[in-house]
Amino acid sequence: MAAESTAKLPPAFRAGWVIICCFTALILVYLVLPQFIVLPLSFSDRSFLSFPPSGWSTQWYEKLVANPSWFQAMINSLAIGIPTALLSMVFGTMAALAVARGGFKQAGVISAIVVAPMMLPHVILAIGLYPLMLQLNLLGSYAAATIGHTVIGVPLVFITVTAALARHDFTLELAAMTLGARPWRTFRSVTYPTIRIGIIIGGILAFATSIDELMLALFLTGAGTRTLPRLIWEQMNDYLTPTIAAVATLVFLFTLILLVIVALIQSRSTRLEGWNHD
Amino acid sequence: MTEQGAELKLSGVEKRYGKVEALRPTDLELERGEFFSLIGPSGSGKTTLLGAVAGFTPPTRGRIEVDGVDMAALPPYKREIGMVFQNYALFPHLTVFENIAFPLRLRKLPESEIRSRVTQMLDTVRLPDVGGRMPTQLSGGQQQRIALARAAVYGPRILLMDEPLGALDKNLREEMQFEIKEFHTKVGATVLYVTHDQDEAAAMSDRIAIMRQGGIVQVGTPRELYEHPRNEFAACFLGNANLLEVAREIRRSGDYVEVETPAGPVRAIHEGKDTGNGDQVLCVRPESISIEHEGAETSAASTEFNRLSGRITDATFTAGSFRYVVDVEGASPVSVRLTSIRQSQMLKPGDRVALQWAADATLMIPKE
Amino acid sequence: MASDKSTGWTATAFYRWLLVAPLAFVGLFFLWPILNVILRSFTDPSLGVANYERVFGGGPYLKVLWITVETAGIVTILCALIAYPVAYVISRVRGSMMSLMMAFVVVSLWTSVVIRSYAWMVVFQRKGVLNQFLVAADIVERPISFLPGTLAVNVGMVHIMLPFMLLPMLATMRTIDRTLISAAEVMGANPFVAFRKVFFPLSLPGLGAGSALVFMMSLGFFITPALLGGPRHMMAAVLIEQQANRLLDWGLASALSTVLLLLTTSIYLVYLRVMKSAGGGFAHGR
Repeated sequence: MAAESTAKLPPAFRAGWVIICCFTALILVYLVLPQFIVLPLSFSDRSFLSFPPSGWSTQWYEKLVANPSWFQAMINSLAIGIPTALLSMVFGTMAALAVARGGFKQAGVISAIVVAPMMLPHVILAIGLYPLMLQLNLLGSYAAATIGHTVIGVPLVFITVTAALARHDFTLELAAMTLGARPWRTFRSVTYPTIRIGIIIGGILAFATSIDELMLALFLTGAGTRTLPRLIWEQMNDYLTPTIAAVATLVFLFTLILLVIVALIQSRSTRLEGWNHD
Repeated sequence: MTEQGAELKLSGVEKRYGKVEALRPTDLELERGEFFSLIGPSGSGKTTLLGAVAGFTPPTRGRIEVDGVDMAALPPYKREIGMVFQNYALFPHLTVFENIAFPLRLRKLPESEIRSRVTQMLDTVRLPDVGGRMPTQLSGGQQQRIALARAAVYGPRILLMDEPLGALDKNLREEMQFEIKEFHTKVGATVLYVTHDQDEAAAMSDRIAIMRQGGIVQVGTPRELYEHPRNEFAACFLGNANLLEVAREIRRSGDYVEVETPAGPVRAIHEGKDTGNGDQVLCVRPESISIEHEGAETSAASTEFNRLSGRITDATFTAGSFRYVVDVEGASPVSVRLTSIRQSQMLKPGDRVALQWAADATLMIPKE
Repeated sequence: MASDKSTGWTATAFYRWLLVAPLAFVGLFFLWPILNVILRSFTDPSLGVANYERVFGGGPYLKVLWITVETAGIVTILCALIAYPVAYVISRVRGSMMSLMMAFVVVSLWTSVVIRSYAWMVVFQRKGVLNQFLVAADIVERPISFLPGTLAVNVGMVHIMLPFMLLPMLATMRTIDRTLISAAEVMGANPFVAFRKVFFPLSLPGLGAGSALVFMMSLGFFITPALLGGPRHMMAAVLIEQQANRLLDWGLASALSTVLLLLTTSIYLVYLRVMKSAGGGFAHGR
């Protein structure tokens, strides 16, 4: 491992370093191990879960395609995830701008409240939203789940945009205003370009969270709007077929693609503008 | 582009944050094309004042008039005022050219006009070839010149500058002082300049306002402020000053006053300020004092001059001048600045010396 | 004519207005529902503290709360012990090696929690990967029944929480000035002493933030204990879901939620304090 000054250290310390490096490697493998157990399983030729599979087939993927409920669940997840991401981007960016630029004395309290939904157990939010959605006659609709997911998506955008705003001085916007730019124009020409990466990454995070969320989906979606995690959940409670492994593999690939997109956006912004988003 | 600068008049401008008075009611008038500086320690209200003129924080009360039109309630984007910031505030996502073109595009000028104005402005700041670069690829001094160009390109008649040289190192700062002065001459706008650097203000300004605790202490040309400070704070803020306590006033005759100090009797000018009420202090500039070995005085004693004797405790050579610190009984150590090498060669720490300075160079001013 | 009041435009006032919409949204769909949960815990089915008497009156509900806190504590400690050396190594390596290591952490963080829990079921089940390995290696004779069980819950939860411990730790460790360590060594501290006296104290804010974060999230964790824990290792969120969604005992579910809310909020306040003293923003989690 390329640590910079281990060579001149005493042997005991070097031995310790080697040990924790091995430990680190082990833990890193542990972190991605389950994901890679699911992958070969989905190509198994048996109907029960044996590992490693004794033979290979694509039958579980065929079953997946043949069953329209999986396709419907995927559509539902997107129908909830995409509006969630957009709404989270709007509210999260507005809140971040207000807190960063509004000069509130209670800025800390406001941030804490905006971020709280991400931290508090979703089950509390779920049993709180259920009667409210019932009252609003939204229960089981796309809107109900979208609202619920936006509550937990806003903090993610808020955090990424706040971080992006912190990299740029308020004087940039003041400068634009002295040069004659009205508030909306200032946002469009100066603020937005400098925080765009933060907004997009926050939106992708909100989308990914919505796609993965189970608890709110259990309470707020209905038979027609149930999301992919909810369907996996229901299937899992019944029987552990490799069909789930096939779904899991596809979902895993999908998140990997999202992750690569995020990495590309970040490295591009770093390379082009010399800013560092981490 | 050499438009005439505007007249800027502040009357009764005041800024409160709840009970905190960030700016006490202030009157100020800037003449057309004037280079006017605000100096003072941090928290003295100079940035608040500048923010009020720029439109970032409207005053709690008062009028801010540009050529007679009150702008106190206008947002910054309607004021047509140019501003240069300490951190340059160049848009990092736009090229240098687009940064300067920004205000012109907002004003929907035709492309050809924008092109020629930006090019001309880049020439004015002597950076004709950097238009295609990103701001981060420029040095600090270059960035500040682009910021100047951007602030002035649309011909604002008032330019505000908030410590524009604060982020630069010392040598570059002096060079840029010259550049800004030259730029000011070229564009002709009225400049309101904020700095905490007294030398910078003195070198560049037509007039200066010294600020303290949310109010203006004194306004004047650099020379007026230096030679006739209104009080102890003004005396100490612009240039160095030796201060002597006044124990008791003995008598007055015309402009002169004779006072008793712990170090002995001293004759000074009183300029009629603050007669008698409150504590007074004597102010003598370090370069007004001549210094000689005790007993070797050349000039005869006279009422025109004050004398004190003491012992040198410290002698320092700083580029171009010698500075002595002299312990005088009954007074705080007196600092003396000499530019003459000949005289200085003879003096060293420990020597007993006689100090002598003209009564005309001694000001009696209010103490705080 | 003199403008008497500060009627004018301020740069900050404009931005303040932006808060209205998000705050209304958060108020209506977050604060209001949660307030209602608290309210309901005292009114459903009748006014009073009957629901709390059921929760704290001994018996299964109190035990679930205790298991919840205990599990969250164990997971936090395990995560801290595992994550600290890993974060230390990652904070010391440079370039592509660091990117590779971070990729493992981030991929893990991004993988669906449902899917990861499913994978652990595959690992821990009777004919699962682990049992096959144990039997093949002659460590045990017959497959062990891991599911449902405490071990599976802990392994699964540590796996999910580890990135949330690692990221704040890394953020703090990266800001530690290496010249401080060199300075300590120049002054005669050997590497172990320099680590203990300089690096470790400086890394504590990251450890604190990560621990608070993991503890808080573990308290309300649902998927992993529900799948791997079974009735014997039931945690609060699982019980609440069961009471509300299946048994329709909303009063009890609300009371349990209120207790969970109180616990989590107090940890959240500690977390905010830690983050404030560390001078950082929020941990950039998932």
